[in-house]
Amino acid sequence: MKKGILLEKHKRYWLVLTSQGEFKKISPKRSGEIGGEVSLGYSFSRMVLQAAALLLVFFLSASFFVSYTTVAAYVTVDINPSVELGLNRYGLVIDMKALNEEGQVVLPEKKFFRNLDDTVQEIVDSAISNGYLALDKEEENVILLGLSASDNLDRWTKELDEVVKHTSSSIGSGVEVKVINAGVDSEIRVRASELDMSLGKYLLYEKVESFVVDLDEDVLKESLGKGGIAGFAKELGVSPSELVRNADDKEKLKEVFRPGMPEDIKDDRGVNQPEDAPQGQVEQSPGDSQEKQGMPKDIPRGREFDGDDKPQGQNEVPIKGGPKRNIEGEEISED
Amino acid sequence: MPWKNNDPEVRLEKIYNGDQQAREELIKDYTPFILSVASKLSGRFIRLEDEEASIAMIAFNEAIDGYRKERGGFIAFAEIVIKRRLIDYYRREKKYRSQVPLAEELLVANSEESLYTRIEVEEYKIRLQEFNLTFAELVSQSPKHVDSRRQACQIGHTIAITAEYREYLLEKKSLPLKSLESDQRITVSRKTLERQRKYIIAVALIYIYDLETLEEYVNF
Repeated sequence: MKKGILLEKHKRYWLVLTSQGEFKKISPKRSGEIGGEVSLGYSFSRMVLQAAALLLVFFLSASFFVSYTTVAAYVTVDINPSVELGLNRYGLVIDMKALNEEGQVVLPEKKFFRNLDDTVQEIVDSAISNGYLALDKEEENVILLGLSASDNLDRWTKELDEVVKHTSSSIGSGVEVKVINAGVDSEIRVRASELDMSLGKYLLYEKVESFVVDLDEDVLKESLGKGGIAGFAKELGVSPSELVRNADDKEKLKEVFRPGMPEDIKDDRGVNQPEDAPQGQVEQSPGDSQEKQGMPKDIPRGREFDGDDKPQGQNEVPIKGGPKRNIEGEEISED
Repeated sequence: MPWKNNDPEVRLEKIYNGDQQAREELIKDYTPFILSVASKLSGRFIRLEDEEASIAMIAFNEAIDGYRKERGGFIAFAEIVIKRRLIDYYRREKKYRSQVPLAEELLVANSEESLYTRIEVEEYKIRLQEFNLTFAELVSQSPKHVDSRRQACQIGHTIAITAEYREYLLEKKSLPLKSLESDQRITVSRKTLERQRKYIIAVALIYIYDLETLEEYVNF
């Protein structure tokens, strides 16, 4: 370590002559006499301080980096091309994924850290130019935005409302743009992806499902996947824009389906449904109603019923409708 | 502080007119000042009974006789004289001490050693003042690179050991640039010499006044 001889003491600095013949200003040490030797290396306490400061900077930047690169909310865009966008807490797009083949087509170039509005705009524009959004055929045009946030739902809802406003104004009134909200339930997204559906489609399906008893779920899901929302609506016999416009309001949705619904059950449903928890809390409502009404189990229901127990829910998919057959099969084999 | 109210220069006039009484009064009034200068120099508290105190008082008396109005304030002058005499005293002491048997020297070594280096630094400061140099100024005048510092230190040493240069420096208070330029031992340009002159002078003074501890720091 370098040494120096202390020449002069001032309040804010000391003057030393170093062992290398240099007259130097140093910051005062804890003790030292004029004519005494001072070490010019870093003192231990100073090193500790510097290390601490360095660590602090590291942790701050690390935490910032983490917050910057962690997805805080997922937004799915369904036109029929389906795209899923991951947003960080600053509302910037940090992840995007096509959920079907058409989605691959409209997926914007991987420009990240842009705001949601611009990205959605680009997707919509690309959908128009690729012919997925025909602006002249009025009924077919729907854009469904699905939202699932880990927290701060209000803020995300507001942000999406902005996007809706923007999109509507940029492509005209012929297109129905709707936000459908999963609330802060992160399970929903997982369930949706297990069924190979976008969040928005899954939520729509979930909502519509309680009104439909006479159609095969598989057919519905298939139509939702292949034909998009338009195909789904066709299968259900309703207009896509009607369906989407009222997607988040059970009362109105009921109106949409009433004409096409079977006799007795529809009334039962109609009475019970509105009592359930408000929209957004979809998870509970159908489950509750199911319990009350003692309805036969069907796939998504069963999953919801099991609620947070995901793996169990998963297991129910393949068994669906199958148990009977299985038992019969076993009996036969035993015979 | 009594001396602050009473302009010492006025009282000196009386003394120079032969007023012995005034001289004694002045010394008496300034005794706290004399002691504080001595204490500051030695780094420890000097009482009236200490040997340093009497040396400082004699130095103060000497300063009265040696003072010339044209050279600035009396107090500043007296301070320098006191310090010089004390430095001389400490140096004599040191030489004496070095003849003391080793075991005894070791006993006092630590505190004495730091006292001597302190005196050396104080003396160095005074010597630099004669050249209008301060430590603070030398901070900015030190060549930044180790090698150029080493070269400058060697030039300083050359000046100190060469009688001709040494006398020129002490008398003219500047470097004998012309002779240095033509000196075979010195390889640097006149421009460099001029740029580093303050630093070179500072180093030369260390060698000229034989400031042993400091020498170690410029001989690297």
